[in-house]
Amino acid sequence: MTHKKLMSSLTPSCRHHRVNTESHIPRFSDFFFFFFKPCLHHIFYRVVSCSQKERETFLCEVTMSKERIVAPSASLGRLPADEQLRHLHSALQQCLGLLEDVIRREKEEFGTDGSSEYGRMQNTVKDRLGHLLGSTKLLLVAGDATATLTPAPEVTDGLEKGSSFGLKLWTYRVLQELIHWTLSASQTLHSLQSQREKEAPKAARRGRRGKGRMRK
Amino acid sequence: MRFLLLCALLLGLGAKNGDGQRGSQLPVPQKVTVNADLASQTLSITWENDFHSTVQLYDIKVLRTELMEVAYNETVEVRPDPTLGVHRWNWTSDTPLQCTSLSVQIRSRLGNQTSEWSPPEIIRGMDIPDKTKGQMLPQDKVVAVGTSMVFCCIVDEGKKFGAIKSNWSELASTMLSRRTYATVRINDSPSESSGTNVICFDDEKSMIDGAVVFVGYPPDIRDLVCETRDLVSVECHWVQGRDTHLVGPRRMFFKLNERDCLDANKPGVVEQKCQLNGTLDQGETKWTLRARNPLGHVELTDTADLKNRIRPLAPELSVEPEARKASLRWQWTAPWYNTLPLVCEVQLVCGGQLRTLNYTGKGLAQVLLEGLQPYEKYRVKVRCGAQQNFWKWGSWSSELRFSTKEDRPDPVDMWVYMTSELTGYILWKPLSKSQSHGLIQGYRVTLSSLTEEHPQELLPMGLEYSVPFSLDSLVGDHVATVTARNAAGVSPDATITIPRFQPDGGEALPGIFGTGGGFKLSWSPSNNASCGYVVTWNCTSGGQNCRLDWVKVPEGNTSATIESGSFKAGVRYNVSIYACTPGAPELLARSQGYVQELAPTATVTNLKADQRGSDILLYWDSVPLEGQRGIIRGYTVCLYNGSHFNLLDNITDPSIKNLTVTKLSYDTYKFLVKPYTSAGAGPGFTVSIRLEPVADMLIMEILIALGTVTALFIVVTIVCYRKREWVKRTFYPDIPEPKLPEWSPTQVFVSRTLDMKPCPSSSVRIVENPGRKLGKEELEVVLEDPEEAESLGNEPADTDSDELASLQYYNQVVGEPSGQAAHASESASSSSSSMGSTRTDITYTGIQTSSVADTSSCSSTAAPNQTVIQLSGGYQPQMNPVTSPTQPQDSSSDVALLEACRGYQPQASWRLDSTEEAGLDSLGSPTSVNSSQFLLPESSQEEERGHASSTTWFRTLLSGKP
Repeated sequence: MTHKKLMSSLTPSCRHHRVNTESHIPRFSDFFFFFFKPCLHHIFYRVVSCSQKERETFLCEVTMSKERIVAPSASLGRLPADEQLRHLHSALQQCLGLLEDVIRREKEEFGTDGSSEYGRMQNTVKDRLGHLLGSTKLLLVAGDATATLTPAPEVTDGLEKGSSFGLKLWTYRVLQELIHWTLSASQTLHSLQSQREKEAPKAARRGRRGKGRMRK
Repeated sequence: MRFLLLCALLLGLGAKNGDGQRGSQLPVPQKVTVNADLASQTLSITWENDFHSTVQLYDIKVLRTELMEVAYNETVEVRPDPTLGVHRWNWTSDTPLQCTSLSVQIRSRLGNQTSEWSPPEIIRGMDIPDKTKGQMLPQDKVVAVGTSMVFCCIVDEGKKFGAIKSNWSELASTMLSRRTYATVRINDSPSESSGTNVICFDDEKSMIDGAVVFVGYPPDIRDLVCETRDLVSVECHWVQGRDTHLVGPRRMFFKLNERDCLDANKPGVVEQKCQLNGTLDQGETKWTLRARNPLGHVELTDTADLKNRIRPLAPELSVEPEARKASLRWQWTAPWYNTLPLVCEVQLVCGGQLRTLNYTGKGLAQVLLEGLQPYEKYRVKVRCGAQQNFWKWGSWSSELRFSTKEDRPDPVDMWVYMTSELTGYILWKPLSKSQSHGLIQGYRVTLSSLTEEHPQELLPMGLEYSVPFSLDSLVGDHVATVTARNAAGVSPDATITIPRFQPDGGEALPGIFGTGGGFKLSWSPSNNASCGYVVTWNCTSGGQNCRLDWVKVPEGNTSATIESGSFKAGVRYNVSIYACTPGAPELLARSQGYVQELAPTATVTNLKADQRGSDILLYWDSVPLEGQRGIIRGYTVCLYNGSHFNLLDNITDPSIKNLTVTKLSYDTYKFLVKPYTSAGAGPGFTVSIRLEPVADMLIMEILIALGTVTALFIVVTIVCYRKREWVKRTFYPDIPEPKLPEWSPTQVFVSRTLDMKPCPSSSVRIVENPGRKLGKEELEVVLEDPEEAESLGNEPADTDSDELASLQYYNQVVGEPSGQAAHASESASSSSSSMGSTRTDITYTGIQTSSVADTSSCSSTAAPNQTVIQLSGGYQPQMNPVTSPTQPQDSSSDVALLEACRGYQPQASWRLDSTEEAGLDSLGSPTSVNSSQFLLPESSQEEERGHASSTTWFRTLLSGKP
């Protein structure tokens, strides 16, 4: 999968953040800046802090539990780069599942119309997250074609009670989870990019030395 | 003592028996059971009583178990179930039943007698110690707008209650138990689709729990109508009333004849219809629609026979167009319509015009659309209804668009405009879309005559729809023909016989006035008009776009209203009316006018002002045609008065283009001339003129003035002459007689004058002649010697006589060049003879001449050419004594003569060039002269010479001497 192929899957609204196409190896930071910073993260933040809070004013007075809905199996910092990426992909996949479930439940419970601003924002978040998951999957395949993706674990229904208020709280938690993992993805992709940039000259030098020895 | 003990025993027994009777008569309710319906917050209480008991009243008491507060305590009448003998009573709590534990007790009542309370039946709340987690109740309650409801908050075990808030506002709360607090919320408005939140906080402002309440309205629908569309099913419609504001699981659900309306019950569906199976044969049928939501339900019914409720579906159209007709077909999605008598409505739209056509027939599925325009675009749609027992029109089909085919064009509307006897233009109007019947490919114009075999084909000029032509001669009729062609063919010929050229007539044409943006024309009928009339018009001003236009009036009509979008206000049009004859058109009338007059934009030209004597003639030329913009009705002439123009005259006859302004004084005038139409005045033209006196009059006045002055002078002169004595006395009084002492020349002229001897006749006196009426003084010589007096006295004074030479004084011109001194005596003599007017007669008194003998000796010794000098032996103004060197002899002779004459000579000037001359210079020194003029100082004598003549003249005038 080439970088150009990845770019072709981008949505039109974010085309102006086109990455450098001269490089044949996809750059993590490019993906991050392309997907996260201008679009996804912003939209997530809007949904959580603006749209839902505008709709549910009580959220401004509520301190939610810090407990993660999607818990990593291990600390990301201790894992190798590809493993971190795989974990991120898995977490975001679970977030997407949670989001889709929340959207469905809100539609049933509150009759949320897809044409309303809140409904459009929900769908946009879902679409961006889907694109991000697809692109991350491509990165994993491009980095290591033999790597197998960890299947998304069964998401526990966080609804302790089936009330409308519980659904609102759950929705808020899911969106916060989404923000958390998008931020984690941001940090991880940044660190991976820096790491690869540092390793690239060393690899190039080793390559030159190796060639020199071969000549000898 | 015994009696007292007996009474006490009886009382004790009586009391004991009384208690025992009450308890035995009203038994305590047995088998009390309490069931809680949490959703409806209702307690269902059942109990049993003695079957034979007649008690029907029961006291029911509900206590909040923890605080033993009474939640309900009423006496109710309950009859037992006749079959089971069970008493049942329901109590609905305003507070959720789970908020706190409730205890229910019942006792029987019969009048004032009551039984014992039944053992308490406890409904356990959610605030019991076993349930430590806090919560908010009730959850997801649906209530109607305007109602109030109680929320309770159960605080987490170990925490303290803080507040209950809803929509940022804190609600007042009351304590129900140790951990439960309740609040009342009034639902005064519908909630959003996601409901209204009520949140409970602990004392640390941490959220304990929240609840959502949905506030809305019960179902509101009306106007249920059922019909069939496909003849095999029933479709019922209704109208949605007030919005319930309830969505999701709280939305309305519908049932039609107890069958769920699957389509209408889908979330988010806004279409209010429900469908059931049905046939036309089922006869009269009743349909019942039931709508429900958590707040209530509504039922609507409709009863009808489906045969009378047929509303067909939309047909599917197809069309086969031709040039002027089209075949329209349609099909039905339901096959059962083929045998149904139908009435169908076809709606045809072309160019914004709508045509509605109705067709009927059994299983109608095809119609022929006629009267269509060739090469035109149409839109068509169809709807049908049942012909029998018509109920409603069915649905419109989707709109179908089609175009008709081309057909040959209509005849061209043409005209001929002659510009001269032999030349002109063939004009025609472009065919409209409805006339062209297709895409016009071109026009063909031919000109034919009887003398030519083949018609002459003319080439049109671009898109002007006109072509010029030129006739070879006026012999015979010439016929112009125009045809148009398109893909379908050539139009029929349009022909016209070339008419004779008739000039416009210019300004002489009668005027017509436009009304409503056009011209209303009427004319006398013409017997020659076999095919009607033609009215043509073209603008004669306005410049561009002045193309001739025309309209054809059918035969029999003798009036027409010309309205054209090309008509412009302020533009002059020539309108001609022709009779359409078998031959050339015949001009019946021609006129000119404006559809709307405007004020002129131009003014008069060549405005000039001429002076006619003391009048001013203003004249000007007409306003240019382009700037008239209306019929010139006249001119206003204004005169500038220094600040603005005042109306001087209003000329209402536009043919008058001059004005004479009279009664003007000599001054500068500024005139303004404005043309005006019925719409107002145009700009003005100003001219200035200075009115000046005529030259002849000036001369006349000058002459009059001169004559007046002359007459005045004459009168003054006459007056002065007649009053000369008075004038003389007033302005020139007599010089007092000099009273000289004994005059001795030596005393006076010791060194300056000659030694003069008085002449014997130098003694004169003024003798007044009383005999002269004019009072003219006469000088009379008075000689001291009587003999002399006799010889002289009676003779009139004659300056030419020798004797008077010593008595008369002559003003002599002095300052003559010295070269002329030699002729001084001659000059003096000549002047004495020729300048008599300047002579002044002076009487010298007391002047002693040297001797008469000397005088005689001047005359005896003098040479003949010196006679004059001798004759002037009297006083003579001193000549210039300077002698010319070239004439020494003359000078010496003069001096000698002067010495010999010794006549008195006023001193003029002298020079002391020599002693001899000095002696000579002494001659003429002033002596006592009875004249102020002659006694002027020497220094001013030269200057006074110029005045001498006039003074002398005046003096002579006064003296009355010529």
